[in-house]
Amino acid sequence: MGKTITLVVFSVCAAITGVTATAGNADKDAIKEGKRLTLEYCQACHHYQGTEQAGTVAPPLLGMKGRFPDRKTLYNIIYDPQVAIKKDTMMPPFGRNELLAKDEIEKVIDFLYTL
Amino acid sequence: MMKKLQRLFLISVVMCLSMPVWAVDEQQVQQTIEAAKSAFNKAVAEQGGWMSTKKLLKDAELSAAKGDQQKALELANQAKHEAELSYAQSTTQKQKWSEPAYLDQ
Amino acid sequence: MIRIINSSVAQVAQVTQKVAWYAIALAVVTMLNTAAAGPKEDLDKYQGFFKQRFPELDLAGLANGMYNFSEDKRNQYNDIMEFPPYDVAVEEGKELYTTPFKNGKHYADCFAQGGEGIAQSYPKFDKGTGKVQTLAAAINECRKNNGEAPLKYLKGNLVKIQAYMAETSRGKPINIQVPDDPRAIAAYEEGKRIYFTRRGPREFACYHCHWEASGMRIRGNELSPAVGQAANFPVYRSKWGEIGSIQRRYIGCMRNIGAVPLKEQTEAMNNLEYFHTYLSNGVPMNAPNSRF
Repeated sequence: MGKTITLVVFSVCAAITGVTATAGNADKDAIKEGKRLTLEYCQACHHYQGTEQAGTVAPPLLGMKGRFPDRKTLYNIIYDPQVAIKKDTMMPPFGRNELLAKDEIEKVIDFLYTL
Repeated sequence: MMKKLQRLFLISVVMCLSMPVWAVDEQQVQQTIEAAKSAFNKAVAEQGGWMSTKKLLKDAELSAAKGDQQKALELANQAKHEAELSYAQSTTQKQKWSEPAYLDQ
Repeated sequence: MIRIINSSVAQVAQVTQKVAWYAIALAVVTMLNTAAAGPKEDLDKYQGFFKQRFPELDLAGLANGMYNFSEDKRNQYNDIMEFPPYDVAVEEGKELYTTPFKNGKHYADCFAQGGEGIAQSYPKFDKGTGKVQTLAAAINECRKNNGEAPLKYLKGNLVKIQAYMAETSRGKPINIQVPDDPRAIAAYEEGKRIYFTRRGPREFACYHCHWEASGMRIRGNELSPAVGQAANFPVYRSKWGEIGSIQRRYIGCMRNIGAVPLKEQTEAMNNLEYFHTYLSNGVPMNAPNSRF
């Protein structure tokens, strides 16, 4: 009985705090949220389809899935390009300095894969 | 059994919603804010520190003043964490800064 | 057996001696290399980068900054310059500069050549204090020595006086000296370290935007090349609606990248100004100037 109580309390709390709320329709929502994040964090430097005021300091983002078939490669670049690309790169370490949370980087990749 | 579960469900809803009220006390919030501030000042003294931390500290104090201790605690913890990241950055940079590699090519 | 051991000991000793010689030779070579790389060699390397990047621009051209890269903005700048917005500040600065202190003395008494045509050699290493002195600090020191209260840095009357002094240096090439004094070298090196240090959550250093990305855009903003920037200050910025100092611009720049800015007129900030202005050695002064 004690276990059941804990379980029920836990799952109700989880549902309320939204831990399980993102389960449905993840892809479409993730891509949409990913796009919003790129407009905030990426377009200042990168041009890609859908940018409104893109910068020119970094390469354009296109054919991303073809160029980075391994999701992990892209993740590592966004997480800390000083490790994944080169030490003196201008690109910010979005993951290491927590500008983007891990699940946000995943959503950004979901969107980048549509380019 | 069903009724019991229903009651349990209601109780847990109430518990969850009321959690913020009893989980945080003011003294703990003030202590965390002070700790965050001192971590931030430590980073600034090393020629580091981030503007976003300044804002988090201000927001934490505002929330505390408004009586939202739960929110204040969250913000203060976040500020402290960020201050520590920025301190680490400034000390690593003092060792690791360099001219860009392309200057020597 | 003992002989064998003895001979191998001798061998080891020989090898050790050889290694020691190599180590000494290597240390000497390294020292010579370090001795060779000073501010002068740095400047050749740094300015060489921009000469290669913008072969069509001479030093004076580089100082036109972002207006080199957008015809539209260049045209707007030319329109603004029909009636330079800093003219009033220069007039007011001249008035302030020539008005005597309560003791009857003048600013002109504090400076070589009466303060005319000297702005291009600031910031300056001061042998007496062993530190870098900015023109702003020299103006306030002059006031203090004549029993006047110091003025605020960054904007206002002090910057107007600087604007007037810079006007008398227009066209003169920037000439920052790093004398052969360990304290001057140390100041230069600290400025250099600060310049190349990543700061803020995005970890930008000054060079990221103003070297490899110069001439390109962040959002809608063209980035100016590092060499030549210092020749334009103090500057009237449309964004400020008034004239401001170079350290005010540094503070804005650091804030823009999310870093807590260094404080004006601290040793660190003055050393940064020393290094950053040194980058523009040889660039003709074009200050005060106007920027968006």
